[in-house]
Amino acid sequence: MHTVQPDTDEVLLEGIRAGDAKSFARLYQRYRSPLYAFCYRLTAEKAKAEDAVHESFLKLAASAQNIRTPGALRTWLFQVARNEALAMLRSRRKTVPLSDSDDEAPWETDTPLSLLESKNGAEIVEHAIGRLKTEYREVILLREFEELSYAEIAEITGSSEGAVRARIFKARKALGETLHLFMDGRQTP
Amino acid sequence: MTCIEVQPLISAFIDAHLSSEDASSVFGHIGSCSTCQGFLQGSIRMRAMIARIPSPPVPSGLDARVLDIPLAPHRITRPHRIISIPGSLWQQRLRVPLPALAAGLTLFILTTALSLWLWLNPLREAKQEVVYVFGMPQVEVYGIPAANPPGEHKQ
Repeated sequence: MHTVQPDTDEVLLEGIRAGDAKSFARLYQRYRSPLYAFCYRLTAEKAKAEDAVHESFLKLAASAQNIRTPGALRTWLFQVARNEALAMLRSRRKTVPLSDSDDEAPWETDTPLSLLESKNGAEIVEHAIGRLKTEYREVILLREFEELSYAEIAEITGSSEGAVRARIFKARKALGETLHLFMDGRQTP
Repeated sequence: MTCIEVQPLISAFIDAHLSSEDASSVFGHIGSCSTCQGFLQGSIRMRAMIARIPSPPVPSGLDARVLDIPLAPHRITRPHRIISIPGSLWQQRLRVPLPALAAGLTLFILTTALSLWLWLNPLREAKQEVVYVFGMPQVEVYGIPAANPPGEHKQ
């Protein structure tokens, strides 16, 4: 008797390992949008985001046999996509802004205060996230948009859970203060 | 606790990554601190705003690029669920289809049970030997009468 199995990541990965193109296509359909959105928000360039996602699935096709934890395929894909996107950012800027020193200002350049008057709502938040430094932007993207756990984000970024926790807090604080979200409840400085 | 200590915990709290012990300390502080109340409300409000941000559309060209990636099959497709058996002589992982494994185990158990049954069967050792006695020769020696035949007892 044939039993219908759900298309879990493990089942699809097993199909990819066997050379099944349908499994590969189904897995791509599952992750194309979140991976592209993550890479696009990380690189702020459509072409680089597209290349990063393409490279990620190239690596999946090439090294599916070597993935030891099929249950964590999502984390694996985000990890590869993140590395590809950061490599593209490095090639663009030549200098790598990544550092674990949390005492630096979280903004890439200027604060997005001027945008508050011209834009509103989610658009401002998205732009403000885009102005964060890479190490803060990537953790806030993975946490807020992908709803990954601290442990998963730590694995993707190669950091400790404590560092992830601290970066998320600092990114939130910077975003919130810039967007004046905390002002309502503040009475005295 | 000070605001500097509490606000990172608030951030962890809204991510559901805060222990119950820390949570009680945080709420004890928030109850009397308007700054941290504002931080909590602002963080929650920001999450709501982020949730309204639409995902960027995936370029149509990406689909074609990715779906054209060739896959290199390394072995024959197995339609059944695959399980891994860890541990072997060289610490390698054997990959066996579940139905084949179940059939093999069943055959092994049945064969073992049959062998044991045949080996331990009491009928195997207890061969019945039937001895037919047609009669005992009666011998009279020096006038003494012959011994009583089997089955006859003197009172």
